[in-house]
Amino acid sequence: MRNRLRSLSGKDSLMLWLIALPGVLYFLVFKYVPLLGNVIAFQDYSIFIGIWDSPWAGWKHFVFMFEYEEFMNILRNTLVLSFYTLFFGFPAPLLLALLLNELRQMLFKRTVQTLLYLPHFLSWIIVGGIFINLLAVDGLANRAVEALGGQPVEFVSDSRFFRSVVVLTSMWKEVGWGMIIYLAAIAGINPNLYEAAVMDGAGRWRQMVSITIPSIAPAIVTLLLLRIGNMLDTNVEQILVFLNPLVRDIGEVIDTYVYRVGLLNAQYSFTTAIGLFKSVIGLVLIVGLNHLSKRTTGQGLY
Amino acid sequence: MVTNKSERTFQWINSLFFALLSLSMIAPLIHLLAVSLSAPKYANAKLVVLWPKGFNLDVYETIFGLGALWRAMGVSIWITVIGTLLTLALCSSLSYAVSRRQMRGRIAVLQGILITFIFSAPLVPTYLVIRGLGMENTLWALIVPSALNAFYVLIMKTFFAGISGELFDSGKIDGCSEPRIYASIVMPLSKPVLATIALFHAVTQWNSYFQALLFIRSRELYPLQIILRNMVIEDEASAVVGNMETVQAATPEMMKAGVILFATVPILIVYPFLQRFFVKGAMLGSLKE
Amino acid sequence: MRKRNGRLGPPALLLALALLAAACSNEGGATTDEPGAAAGEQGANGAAATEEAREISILSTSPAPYTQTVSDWDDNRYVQKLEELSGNAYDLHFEFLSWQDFQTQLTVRFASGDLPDLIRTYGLDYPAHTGAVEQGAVLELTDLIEQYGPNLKARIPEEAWNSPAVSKDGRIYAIPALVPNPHTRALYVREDWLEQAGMEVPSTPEEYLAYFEQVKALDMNGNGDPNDEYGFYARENMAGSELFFYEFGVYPDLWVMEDGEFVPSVITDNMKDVLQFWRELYANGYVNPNLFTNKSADWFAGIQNGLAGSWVHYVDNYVEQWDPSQFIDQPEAEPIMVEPPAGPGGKGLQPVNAGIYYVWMIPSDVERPEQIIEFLDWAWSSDEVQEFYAYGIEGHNYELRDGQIVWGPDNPNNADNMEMRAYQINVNVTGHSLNGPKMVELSPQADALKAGFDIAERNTFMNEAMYMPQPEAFETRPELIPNFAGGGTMLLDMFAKVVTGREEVDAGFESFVQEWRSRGGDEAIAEATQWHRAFYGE
Repeated sequence: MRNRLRSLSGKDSLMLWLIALPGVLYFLVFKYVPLLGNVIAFQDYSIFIGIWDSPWAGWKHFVFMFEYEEFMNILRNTLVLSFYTLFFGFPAPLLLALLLNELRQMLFKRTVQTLLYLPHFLSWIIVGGIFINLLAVDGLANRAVEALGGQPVEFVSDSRFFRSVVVLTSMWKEVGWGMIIYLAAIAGINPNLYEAAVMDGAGRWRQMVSITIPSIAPAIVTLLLLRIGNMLDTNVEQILVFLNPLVRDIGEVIDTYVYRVGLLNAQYSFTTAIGLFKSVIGLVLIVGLNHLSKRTTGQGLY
Repeated sequence: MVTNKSERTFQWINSLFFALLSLSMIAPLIHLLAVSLSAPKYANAKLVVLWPKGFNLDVYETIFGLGALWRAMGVSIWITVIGTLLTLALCSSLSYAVSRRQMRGRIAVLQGILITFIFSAPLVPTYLVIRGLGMENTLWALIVPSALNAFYVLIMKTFFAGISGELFDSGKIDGCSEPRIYASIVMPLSKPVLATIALFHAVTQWNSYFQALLFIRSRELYPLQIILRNMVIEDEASAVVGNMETVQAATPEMMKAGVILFATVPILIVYPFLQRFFVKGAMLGSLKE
Repeated sequence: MRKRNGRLGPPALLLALALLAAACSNEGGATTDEPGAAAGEQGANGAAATEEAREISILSTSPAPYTQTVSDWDDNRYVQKLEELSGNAYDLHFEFLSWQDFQTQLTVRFASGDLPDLIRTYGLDYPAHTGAVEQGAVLELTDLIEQYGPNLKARIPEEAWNSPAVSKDGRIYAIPALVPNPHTRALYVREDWLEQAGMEVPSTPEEYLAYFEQVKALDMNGNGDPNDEYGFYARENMAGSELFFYEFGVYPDLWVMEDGEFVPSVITDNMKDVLQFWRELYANGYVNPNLFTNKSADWFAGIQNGLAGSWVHYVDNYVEQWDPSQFIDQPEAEPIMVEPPAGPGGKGLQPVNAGIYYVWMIPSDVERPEQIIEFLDWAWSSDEVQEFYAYGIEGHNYELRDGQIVWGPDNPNNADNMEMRAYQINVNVTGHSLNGPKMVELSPQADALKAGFDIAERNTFMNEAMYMPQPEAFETRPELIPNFAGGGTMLLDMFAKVVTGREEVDAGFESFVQEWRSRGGDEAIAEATQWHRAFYGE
């Protein structure tokens, strides 16, 4: 009996591997082979010599990165900004999806749903330009402040507001888009569960807490962990739009620095080293938190 | 359904909230539309808000008159449709396999996939791989390298793993093989996530220009985004070279706006069609089968 | 290589996937082999073609929307016209990379090793091909030009050949393409506002303060609000807004000898005067308070809406942007280009520059480089070609009436999608011809333009660092660069903080200089001083 089961599961495993094969091959060819190119972080790479012949540089670029005067500052800026983005930005689409789910009017719901995802399609140059005008000292936002009896606020040129502006504008732009995944998760919930709950006299709040949220918890955990894995990535396009000399102390992040270095001189090895550093931090975070999550919630990425 | 007073108040506030939020989100597009329909003088002086000033259709006459754009739109539609189908096929099969505990070594596969999510490949090696595979200057270079990524797989795997194990067991008892379970049980139950990934990918594929920038040399293979991107000098930074700001004087505002709308509107239409998959209870039918 | 890049069908794709193992091990290896392979093929092409027309492939870029509307450049009327002018001695294959993403595309092209005969780039030090000269990827041209390019030598000025964009260690690696007017900076002032204030054109920084005070006091634009005009109107990153700098002996990227050291002028004590002056402008509301966040498009719009009493821009833009008709609801608007003010440090609008628009490089494995030099030499020396670059094709872009050229920018064949850029820039291998002498002559605003160019040409000042390559000490420290360009420099940060009153002049400046020097500025100064000694031979 046990033998039969094992051979059966062995056959299943083989079938599953066959099903997975195209995808696995895909990852090997199109993701892993280029990934090996990261060795240039340990070289003095030149496109005219190539990966095979460029001279080895050991940890030189990493050492330089840590010795760079501005490094600790931009690392801290990156971490703080990412943390805010995560803390405020991550729950926003989830909340929005839950609230949208409560709308009764089907036509209204569908219209709203479509409109909410529009800003995702606009570039940061456009969106940023609009917000900078709105938030200017003589902009609409400050007229509102004045109407309420306040003094005009330098939203775009005061470093105290930089992070709020970045986090809030990116929330505004991406919240509708981020909501889609949760809507899909909610749509996949077995309706029988709700019917049973209604039978038990559960109100809408009760249904949300005991059925909707637990049902989409795996999706939430997956998205959260993935987001944390990319913790040190920032949206260069967005930051560059809002960056100015008066907020650069806290606005300059790793990615904008890499962007500037790239404009000046193609430092392939150096910028790759910075990228690797970011990835290793991301890896440590994601592995650690995945472990934690599996122990506490039973959910994880693998 | 029981509705009481507080519930009704909540409904009102909630509706109002969404109405205001939606208005704020459609406003920029209306603004762009108004700018694109305005006279250059007013558009450049930023005097157009939500209603055109000095109404004219010149921008659209120019855009619609460009043969190259229509051909490029054909290319874009092709890569979006084929690319999305390829993504769904590759992603759902791989995700299904790694969501099944019966697959030996699936943890290792998942970890391997996760690595590609965290680490990114430098530009030049990526380019050389595609070139080495002979895909350079083919439409495949626009579709294949971006067809699959860790994000898609991990999302889809999470959804698949959420499908009740009983369904699989009943499938097993009926003597279904793994491919059968995949095709006749999992796929029909997974329309929301398939629609999500399809939407994500279609939008990404439609908007992507970077692959084309790297891999396409023949003009007849240019997708829409490349042509439009090259027709609009977006910011001053790319307009100034040395002491010459004049030669490439930035594109007039209404041209920018018109081009952005032309590039965006076709893909906006996709969502309303996919929307029925995101409505609660959409899966009712498939469950009762 | 080129031939293999046909369309790939799905079966081939699957095969490629299946052959993954082989592909893996070969990927990187291909890199090093590419240049050789490409060269062999190119050579074969070249040799076969010499019988008839000499084949030359040219990789360029252009900002003209027209570029995107052409599907085959070999059949393009302007390319064919150029070939025809050569008596079909040349068979030219133009290819245009993206304007905005030029650096990325050019990088990839160099990585592929699949290079044409002529490559347009912005200079030897352009990041898309870092190391090209050192690794021998581009041809040294010193002797070739001497031998095959007499007209190049004669028509391109010495300053251009000496530029670090063209030469390295005294050897030439690129051929410059020039702009018709190397100096085009202009100071614009609203003459109608001066009249309202009852003033002449100010001639010193102090007189400008008086004018700005009037601008502040009066409702110059007549919209009922006396406080929405600013004497001087600046934009983000001080782009093209560097007035009241050289007047005090300081200018971004201007280096000066001081105490035996070659240093950026912005770290000398004169900078304090600049800071003091600008601080005053800001504190008194003489300059727009949003100067550090004012995006370019808003800057243009602001001036056209009548917010600016003066601004710095280019002579060339006079016709398109600063024509009175572009000003909104201000029928009296009369922007004029004026002599810059003279300050204690001097009088000048911009440093002398060589007028390089871009440069041509030739890959080192090209078979017959002398033919390519001869081609450029021909384009530079032929009057017919220069005429074509100015007016385009007769009957299409212009008419001849009674021996007079009738050319207009409004002709649809010139205007639609900026088609005129095709002959002015795209196929113009000598630079560009916009607002060149021939064109200015035809312009309805010829007088104003000529006067503007004259002022610009008169008001240049020497920068001894104009031939200096970027100091290595700046390479991974972009914040040290002593200018404002693109933002992100310590100089701009300090300037902004002092001007807006967040820091004091002395304290802010001293700590900036100290930090700048300790972070790598001292190394840069040492490098620069050594270069100065070697170049000017003291």
